[in-house]
Amino acid sequence: MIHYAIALTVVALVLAGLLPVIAQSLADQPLYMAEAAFTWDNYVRLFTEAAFGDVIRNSLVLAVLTTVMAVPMGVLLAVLVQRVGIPGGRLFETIILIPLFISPLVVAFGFVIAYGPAGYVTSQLTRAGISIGSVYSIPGMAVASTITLIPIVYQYTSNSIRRIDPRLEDAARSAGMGPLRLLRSITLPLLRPSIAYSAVLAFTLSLEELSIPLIYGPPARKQFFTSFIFEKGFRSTTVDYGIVGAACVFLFAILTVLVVLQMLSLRKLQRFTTVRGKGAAERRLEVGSLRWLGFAIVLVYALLGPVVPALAVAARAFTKVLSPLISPLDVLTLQNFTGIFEVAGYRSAIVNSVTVALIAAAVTTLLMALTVFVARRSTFRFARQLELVAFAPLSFPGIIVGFGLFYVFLLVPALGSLRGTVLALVIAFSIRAFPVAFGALSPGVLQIGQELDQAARAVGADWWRTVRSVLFRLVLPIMVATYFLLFASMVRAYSEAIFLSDGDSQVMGQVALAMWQSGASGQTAALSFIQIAIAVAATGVGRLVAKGNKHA
Amino acid sequence: MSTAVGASLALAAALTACGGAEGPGSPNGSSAKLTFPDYYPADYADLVDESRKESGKLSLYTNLAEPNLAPLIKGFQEKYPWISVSSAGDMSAEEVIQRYNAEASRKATDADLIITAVAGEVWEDVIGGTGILDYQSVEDKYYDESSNPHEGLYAFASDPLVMFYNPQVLPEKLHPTGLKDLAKIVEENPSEFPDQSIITYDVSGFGYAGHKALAEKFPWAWDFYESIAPHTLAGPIGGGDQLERVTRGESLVSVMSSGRTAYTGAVNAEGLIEVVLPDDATIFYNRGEAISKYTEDPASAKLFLDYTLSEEGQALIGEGESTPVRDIPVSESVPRTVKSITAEVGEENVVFTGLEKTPGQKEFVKRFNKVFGLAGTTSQDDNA
Repeated sequence: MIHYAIALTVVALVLAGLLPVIAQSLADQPLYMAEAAFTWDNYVRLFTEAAFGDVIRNSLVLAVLTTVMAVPMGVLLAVLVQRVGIPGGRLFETIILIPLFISPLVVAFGFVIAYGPAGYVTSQLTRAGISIGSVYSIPGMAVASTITLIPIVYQYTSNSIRRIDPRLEDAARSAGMGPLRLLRSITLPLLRPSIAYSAVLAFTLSLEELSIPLIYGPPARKQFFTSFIFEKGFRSTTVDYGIVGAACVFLFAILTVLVVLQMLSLRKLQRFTTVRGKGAAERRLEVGSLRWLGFAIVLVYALLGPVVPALAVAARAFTKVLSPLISPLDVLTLQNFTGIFEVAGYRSAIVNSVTVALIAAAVTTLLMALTVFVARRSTFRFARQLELVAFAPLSFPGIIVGFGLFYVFLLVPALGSLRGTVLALVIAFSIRAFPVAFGALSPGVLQIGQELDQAARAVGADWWRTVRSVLFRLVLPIMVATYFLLFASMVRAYSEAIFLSDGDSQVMGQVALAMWQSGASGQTAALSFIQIAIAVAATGVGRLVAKGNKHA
Repeated sequence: MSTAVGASLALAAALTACGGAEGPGSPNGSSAKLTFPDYYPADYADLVDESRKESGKLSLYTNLAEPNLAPLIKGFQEKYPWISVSSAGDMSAEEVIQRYNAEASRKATDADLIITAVAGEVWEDVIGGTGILDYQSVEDKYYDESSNPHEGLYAFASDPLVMFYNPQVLPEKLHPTGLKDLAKIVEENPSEFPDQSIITYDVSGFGYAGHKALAEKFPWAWDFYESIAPHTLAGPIGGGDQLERVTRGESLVSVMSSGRTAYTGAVNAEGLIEVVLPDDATIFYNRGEAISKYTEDPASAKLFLDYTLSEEGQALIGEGESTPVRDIPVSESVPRTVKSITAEVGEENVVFTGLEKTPGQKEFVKRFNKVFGLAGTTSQDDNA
């Protein structure tokens, strides 16, 4: 019974985001028009008129390049910081995670300030006779996109590394295995589930990211999936809802195939169970002088990846104008910050973002923890299908969730009162976060030995009791980590809110996009500083909580 | 867990506290104290009284950012303290219309007024589709055919499309004064203008109405486009992004760009941005304003519309960095009006767009895209 209740909640929420879009793709008029009729025409026009083939190709190339760079780099960084124990690991971890807290819009913007054709770094390098190629190209975009996604790969991998049973490595060591071989034959294979999850996440997140295609796409003279939807659906003189719907459904289909393939491959990974009833303190991997090579790698990445763009953003936040043509010290100002706090709507956007993130992160973490238990640790008939549904929102960008829910609230009178409320945003943000939450929680649950809940069942506990007294307790640290991961990403999220919020329920990311578009890029940078402050505060609290848990 | 929630709630509370909500004043003012110009109808006080019986809330759907509306809303609320105005701002120009259309078609819109800069085609669709309230403002006589082409649709402001360049990167002899001048400079000095050194909107969204008006009014427009095209990036690039590109020196000149964004940006740009009203073609992009057909507060909405069109309201719109349509005195807080700009560039060189539909949209877009090598015409490879 309880399985069905959880499953139905998830299914209903996901369908609310998706069904209206499918319906729209098959309608000859906007869905809200009473006389809208069925047609296949939108799909035909998508490929004839709209040159959608190029769009798909560009997006796929970008996503593949991004994944190929972000996953190995993220895993490498996690292993170096978490396992090899390079000097200053704690500080490096914070630096690596910076992009997680900054909206990709601002990362993209900072990246251009540093590495663009007239960027600070570029002009220095050009003077030294070194060419780095244009950032306004698919490879350039992939690098920027990689920096925004490495934190996610890093987080997932780190979570798993921390949960590896040290006795496995001890055993290998006592069998005479050297540290590198141990890394290759024991540690990395154990990380496969989280690497697989983070690869699919990186791929889909780079497909659905909006800001980088918006800023880099036009000068690269290329159109990408999200910028196509955004421009056709939200910035055109005459909006072609049918084409937009068809484009979304098409991408949804591609991504669904990918997600299913990934899940099939993951099924084989069930055997990588590493958390048993007992644990022991983790031990550092001794790699001798290679440790310093690792240190150098992390240092170079940290500087060139997150630090330089972040400095560029900081410089933009505290100056009236930022250009290599004049010294930033001559134009220092705080007006970008005071400008934000002077406007009531901007202040309330900050409050809204925090409120929505607090609630939506909690709702999502709890609902997805239950969903993981049902999908992975129950005899529920539709366990596999449920997992698929929880992953479905990976396949549609936030903007579509917002659009779908907007229709639902409009067409279902009973839900009409939700329109324009913060609660509507909580629902939209939660749906979008299902896959991330499921992906973050699932490896942790997979690593818990089945014998623990079998033991509980053996002494007569039913499923729900087992969940409460065994699984929840073991998974709690991961739930806390997931909560803060979601919180940090929700504080900066906005595309879900585009169609849903009104003057009283805007969030920071929306305000930032609008500021950016109206030319207030200094304020955009300043606002992202405020985002960082909030997210860093939350992460600090998260660490304290995690510590508290360990001692409990 | 509870510590985390507690801390974040405290943070949220602190932010709210330092916010200090700007609610409407005490609702005990009297309409008797309000004075109106002689040309307002005698029964205008009745409209005011009616508004007191309404919800006391007005919601604007607009693409204007909040700071641009703040002086106007403040002025309005001082005059009518029982009405609080909130802007569902930070929507894009087209989003305002889409959302209004979608909601209004179900007769379920929160919008009392819509204020946005879109092409006349879009307004025509709204007027012929979901509809706007047919209301003739008491300020009507100050608005002619170009700023009030349909019953109920007025120009709230009318910002010029400007040209701007970076004088520190662009040598002085290459500084353009107008579009034709720019074309000439580019043709004579092609090597000074690499690819993407000129930047402009494409015609997929906001840029359509401006480019269309230029091509329609000035026979030389297509020659101009042909001359600059090899050096130009025409794309869905916002005014802010264009400003940043030119400030950094990535592009040299932006043409047909939003004047409101450019003038605001130039103030902070420390001499890196020089804004020019093209002396041969200045396009005024009307920002339309209309009352929702489905408003539940029609009296309050009418008061607001009238206020925005009044001399006082127009001055406050100017203070919010938009360009007043009405002929009001230029001052430090209102640096430009339609009248003052027209006087500067000459009446024969200005054209208005944004409220009226003009024929030939498809052909125009096709031709423009072809000239600038944009998608939708040929699938050429532009990796070069």
